[in-house]
Amino acid sequence: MKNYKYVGKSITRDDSLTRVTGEAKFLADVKKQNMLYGKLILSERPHAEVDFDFEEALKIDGIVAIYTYKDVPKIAYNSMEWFTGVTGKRDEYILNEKARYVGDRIALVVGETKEIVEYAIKKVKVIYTDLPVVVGIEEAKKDEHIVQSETNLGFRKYIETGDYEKAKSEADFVVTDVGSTPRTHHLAIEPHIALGEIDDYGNLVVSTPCQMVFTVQMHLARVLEIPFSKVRVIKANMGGSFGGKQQPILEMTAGFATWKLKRPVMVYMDREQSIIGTVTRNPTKQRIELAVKKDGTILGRKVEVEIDGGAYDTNNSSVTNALAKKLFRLYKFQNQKFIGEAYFTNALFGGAARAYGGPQAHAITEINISNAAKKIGRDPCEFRLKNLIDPYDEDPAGGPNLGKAAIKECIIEGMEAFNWKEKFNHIREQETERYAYGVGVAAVTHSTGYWGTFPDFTNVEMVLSGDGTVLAKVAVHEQGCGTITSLTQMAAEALDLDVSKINVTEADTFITPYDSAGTQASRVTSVSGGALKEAGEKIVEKLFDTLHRVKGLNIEDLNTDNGIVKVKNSSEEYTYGEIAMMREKHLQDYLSVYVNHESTGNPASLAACFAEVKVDKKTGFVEVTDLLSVHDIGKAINPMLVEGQIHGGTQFILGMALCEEIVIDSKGYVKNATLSKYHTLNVQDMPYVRSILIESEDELTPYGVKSIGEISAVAPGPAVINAINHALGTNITDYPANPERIIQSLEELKKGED
Amino acid sequence: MFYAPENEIELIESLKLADDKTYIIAGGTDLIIKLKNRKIIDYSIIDISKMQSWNYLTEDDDNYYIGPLITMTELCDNDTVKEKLPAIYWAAKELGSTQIRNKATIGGNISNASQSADTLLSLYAYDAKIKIINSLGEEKIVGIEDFVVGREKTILNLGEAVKEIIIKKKDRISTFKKVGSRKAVTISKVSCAVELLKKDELVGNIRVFLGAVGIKPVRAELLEAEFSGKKLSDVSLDRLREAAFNEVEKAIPTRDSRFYKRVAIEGLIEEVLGDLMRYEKL
Repeated sequence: MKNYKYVGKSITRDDSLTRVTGEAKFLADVKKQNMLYGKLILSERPHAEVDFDFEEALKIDGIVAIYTYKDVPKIAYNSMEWFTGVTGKRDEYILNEKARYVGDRIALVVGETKEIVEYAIKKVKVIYTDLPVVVGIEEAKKDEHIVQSETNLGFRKYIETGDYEKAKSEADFVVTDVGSTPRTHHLAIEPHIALGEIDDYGNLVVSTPCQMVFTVQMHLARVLEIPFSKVRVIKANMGGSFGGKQQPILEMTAGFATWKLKRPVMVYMDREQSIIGTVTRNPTKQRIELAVKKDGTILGRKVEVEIDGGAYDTNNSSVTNALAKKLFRLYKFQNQKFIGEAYFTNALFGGAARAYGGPQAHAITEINISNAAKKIGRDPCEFRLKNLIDPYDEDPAGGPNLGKAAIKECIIEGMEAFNWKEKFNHIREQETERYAYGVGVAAVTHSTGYWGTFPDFTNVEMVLSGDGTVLAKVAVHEQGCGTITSLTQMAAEALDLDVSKINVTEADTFITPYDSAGTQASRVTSVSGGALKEAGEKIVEKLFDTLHRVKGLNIEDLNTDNGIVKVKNSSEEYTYGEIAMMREKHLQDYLSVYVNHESTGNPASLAACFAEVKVDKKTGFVEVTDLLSVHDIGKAINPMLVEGQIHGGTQFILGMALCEEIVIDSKGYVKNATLSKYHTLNVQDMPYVRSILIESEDELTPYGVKSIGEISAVAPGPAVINAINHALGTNITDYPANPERIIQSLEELKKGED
Repeated sequence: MFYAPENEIELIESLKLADDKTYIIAGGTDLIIKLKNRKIIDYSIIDISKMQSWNYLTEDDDNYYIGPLITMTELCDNDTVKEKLPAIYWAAKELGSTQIRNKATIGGNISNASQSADTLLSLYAYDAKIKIINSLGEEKIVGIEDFVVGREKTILNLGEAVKEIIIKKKDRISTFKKVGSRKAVTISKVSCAVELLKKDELVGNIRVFLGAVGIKPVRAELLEAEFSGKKLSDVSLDRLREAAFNEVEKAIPTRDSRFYKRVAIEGLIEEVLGDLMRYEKL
């Protein structure tokens, strides 16, 4: 392992204290001269023609405008498109003509103050003419009522590698599981918000806590018919996203109202609106078949997934593809058939959600793997070890090479640290009349960026000033992960300069050079970090070049040492600042570089999770009593931040496993649009999360990094469900395993035994 | 209109002005949500939160007297509540979040009369009396069971407010337990409050009430029968569970939620019995 000065150190991020104390300013705290507030009216009906009576609302002093479909450009868009090279079905408008789900954006009220806007919204009368409602995948499949056009089937994907049917015929057992995953909300602490204004030069400026400024710019320019070059999008300080703010929503309404009114407009949401009116994790129904030999060899698998895409196309294709991709990058077997279908329904549509498709891809398959182990009488860890990928295996579906994959080490080290054997074989002996105990394991994979599938590059302009400080202009969107800190460490390592002297920007389409895909797809540490590393190395080259050309020194004799260039066998030394000034004075050049950095690799990021639970057989409550996540992280740039991701990711996915679900009733109405009814795990419900980092140091990525932000939010889900099933002897395959579901499963089990 | 009386005389003046769009606010943890959800925008508020004289807990030889403005946090911090009225202590302690408990008042909890109201259920077990004041300054006292008349509906008329809660002193054993959908910050899915008086080492008078299985607290006579006339240590847990299961079946025979609640209550009643046996020894 290399000895680094900055990489691998747990440096505290600059803004952590102000975020905790509440001093940090977010977009909602911003006030602009002459600023208006805007709030959407969201449909209260799942499917209806809408008409309005604005008379009362418009009489209110301070109401400036109320917009509907009639007022917005008749240019449809698909908020999933993140660059000009992907095109989905364009079926969304800034404000929609019909209401297609509870939460559909049907009007925008703009006024002088929030109070006036809130008051006016209550005075607006919406006249709904109800239309037939399509709830759930089963109804959508019937195509009796069509949500968008022609058919409710929004997207279909078929992949087959090898020959599954042949594998099945050769198997000793075929283990089948049918299950489902819920529609969940991201629950960023900051609800969605965007601020539009027009600057002194007539440019439209939209500030937003978003994940992709260039995407927002693209949609605004196209839909509002403003030149790209006149649209400035600034990433605002963000209070969390988890994918929820990846696709433009309020940016469009704020941009539209601003352009129309020529005044700053801040469009905001409250919690309820952000639950029902943004995007969600797509719910799925799944059927898995696993073909296994008695000796523990997996021969093949068939995975059928139906996705509830909601009322607009958005990510129907991309989530199906993302989900499919992961299935081919974890186990060695070559024979696999995937059939994925996404359906339109009258429900809130899907969007990016931390680990995009990963929680769904692993939710049932990892239960199924444990069930197969049980079927052949094998320990589920041993069974996985026999079948997991090895380093440099190929992706049979044609994705990038899996790289220096260390998932087996994750399992082996995890088993040891968790005391797996002992617990797996004996924990059930602790069972009492009231409580049952069990352990579970799951293995998962995720990508490290887009390389191999989509354009995956970023541009950096790095400038070294005369005072020896560095400004790195790069389109990064800090989402709360500490990305800026870890990127600064990577730049510091390349520059051999203290992190305090480096300023890494956040994204701004007028300042930061182009980035191909934004802060998503677990690509930033690898791609933007790689760009900063490359830029830093080039700056050092220019430092040496300057001394060579101005002072006549041999480049081979020069070494960096924390912001100083030292000359071999001499006391002669120059600070970076001195050299920068030297270059400007003598060489007609400012000490800066511009780099277009393409991703250098997309190794599989991998993880295993071990969980122990105590289940109350009467109330159905699950207490996760121990949880260990082992990650093949490649290289932890900042171990403290990596651990933070693992803790947060665990909380995120345990919600899906145990309690989180946006419930839509049989008529299409949302039953729990508030946090008093939509329950996530609170601190009291969280286990102490342990983690082990395996640093396999991939050869292709900068410093050997692999992704963590998304993959940390996957494995604890199925690991906990497997533990519950181990404890109870049930086969729960529907998420979340909430108290009702646990009691129901126990009763069914009892009935089966009678 | 917005009124903020600071004493009873000012309150009575405000109550005189009350119309059917007037709401009394104390902690506001229920009212604000209600106003939002029901899209109520034209209303008047009587904010009684400044009436410090209504925040107390006192006692004489016969009764405990609880001011309606005492908050959940204050109830939990009060030694009398903790030692003598544990059903209120546990109900207050597990109600909502810390922030909610800091604002929510017992007067508000019972006046809102939610079917899941926790301290209300305990007051049923204690057979509390509610003193009501009206806009003429007249007072009347009603039993808690007469106070709640329906789903989120009380006997309170226009211009009336809860002035005091009175609980008779008894040599009682009591507790409150609930099951929500997570450990904390959760609304009761099923709850149980019990008060029992001992007679010659045996369970004499007993009042068991279940919450969240109907529009208002339900008296659980099947459960009471399992306790009556027995030593607590002789109460059969199996029979208690069966009775609990049947109570839910009886209370909500058609609701889908009964499938869960009838099992969860078996767990709940086990904890109730455990508590009672613990308190018996104190």
